[in-house]
Amino acid sequence: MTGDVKGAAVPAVNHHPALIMRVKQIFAAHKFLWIFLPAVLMALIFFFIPIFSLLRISFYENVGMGVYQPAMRLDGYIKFLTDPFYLRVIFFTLKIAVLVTSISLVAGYPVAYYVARAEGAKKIICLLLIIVPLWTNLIVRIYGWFVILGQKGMLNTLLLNIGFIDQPLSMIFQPLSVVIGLLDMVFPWVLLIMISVMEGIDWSLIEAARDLGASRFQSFYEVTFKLSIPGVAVGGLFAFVWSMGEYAVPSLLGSSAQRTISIEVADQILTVLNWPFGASIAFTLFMISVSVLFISNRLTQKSADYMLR
Amino acid sequence: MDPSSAETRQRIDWPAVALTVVTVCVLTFILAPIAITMLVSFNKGSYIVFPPEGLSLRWYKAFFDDYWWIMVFKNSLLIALPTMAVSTTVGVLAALGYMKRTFRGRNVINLIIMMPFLVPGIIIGICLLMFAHRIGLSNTYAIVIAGHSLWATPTVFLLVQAVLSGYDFEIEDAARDLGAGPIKTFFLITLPCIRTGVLTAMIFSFITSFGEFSIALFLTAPATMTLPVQIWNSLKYEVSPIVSAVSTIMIVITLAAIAVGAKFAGVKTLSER
Repeated sequence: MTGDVKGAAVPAVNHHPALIMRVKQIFAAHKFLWIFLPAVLMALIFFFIPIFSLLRISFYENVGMGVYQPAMRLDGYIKFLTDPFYLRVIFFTLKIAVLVTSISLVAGYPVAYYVARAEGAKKIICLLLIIVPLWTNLIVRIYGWFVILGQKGMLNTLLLNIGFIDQPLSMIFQPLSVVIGLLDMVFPWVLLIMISVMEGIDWSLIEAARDLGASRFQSFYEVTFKLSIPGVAVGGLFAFVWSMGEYAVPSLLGSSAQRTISIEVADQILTVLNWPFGASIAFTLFMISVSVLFISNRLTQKSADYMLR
Repeated sequence: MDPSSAETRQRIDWPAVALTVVTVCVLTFILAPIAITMLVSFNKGSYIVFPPEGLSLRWYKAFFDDYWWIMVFKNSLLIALPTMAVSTTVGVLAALGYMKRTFRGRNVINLIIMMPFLVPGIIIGICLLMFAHRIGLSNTYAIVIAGHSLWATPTVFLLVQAVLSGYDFEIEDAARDLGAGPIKTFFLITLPCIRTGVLTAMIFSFITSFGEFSIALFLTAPATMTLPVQIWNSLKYEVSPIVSAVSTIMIVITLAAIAVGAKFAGVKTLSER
């Protein structure tokens, strides 16, 4: 990997005496805080400081051939957010993410409801069947989709054998296969998030509603659905962030016609070696993800307040 | 159609049937690629075809005979084992502190620890690539281990929190009252009580690292390449049926981990990822 920093300006770490005193005071007053030190230090050194470097490099000037020099330019951001080529990439990424989020919510909701209301062995089995793909690594599952959707894959063989089609369909390397792969990725997460919120619902409320004369649909809508909205919202926001930032799925199941933001980032960093531009795109992606997660956090807080009232 | 009127007119409970059908479809959808991968790994032929052209262990043998795949497999272990040690230690400590009491700034600590896990993995990969370049750790195992520990610690943090929700912290105070120091209390009281949780955390942080791709793609050089990155290369450029054997081995490792984890910590805990 090239990418030489010309006159690398390593920032002098500011030893701010007042800040250090304050931190010392806090640790002295709350001795148990030491227990968090390893985790917090690790996140600061290997995540928050590198994110800050990413932001700095995103303003640098690209010299070419993987070389860049310190500058204060907004070129990368302007190019990414105004050039029609990149606007199409952004639009395609958002379109796919919205589609995947909607399908996962609409199809996942009944499943979550089913599992949340199931009892005993049935519930344990359902949870196990969701946990297995959750923990199985994504690359392996993508390979499975190669076998299913490929030219000589399972679906084509099946459809040819029953005489439904004469020619193998091209199902892989299409927008559809990207959506399928992303759905496979987000489903277990969305399901488990919605299940955990639905399990918090007091089901006797439904019986109460029925006793008070509500129809089955009314009691479902007024009680279950309204109380499960936080789960749907949080599940949806996570599905959106993850499908938007996913790299492996579009890079393997998509074609060169389906460029997403993450593919653009990886190309700039690994192939084109224009690190400042790659950093601008990556930082934009980071900011979008953080904003969506912030909204999700606020929503959970709000609904928690609402439920307590 | 009003479901309640349907219920009164017919004996079949249509909403319940619809619910079951959707559930079966979605579960089939997410399990199909895993099941199919395992099936085709025993294929005799040289292409990815379905149904398999006959059963054989040919691709498993090819995997174990292939110098490159074995090296990549070893790399994955060399990265996953240290990651397991780091993230379990760091994550268990943080979860203990987090569950023991409420205090001002608890949310901030939660956010700092969880943040790397919530943003797309590709961002960690890029940031650490640039960081490694600056501090001279490019193409080392260390930087991949750092990235994976960052990614696996939130997993441990959440898992151990779920385990600790049934833990009585007062026995620690009792030990302290009886004169045990904090370190003695930790090793004689806390650790034995939560050992199954710690073991589960170890297993799942191992799996998390072993199967991680987005971070590893940016941080590994050919000499430090991990299994998922090599599978990606193979799928990207020429699909070798060895991939199905490798994938099945990874699936079996995951299934074994889930079996052990479910026994130790319960299925509910594993779904708290």
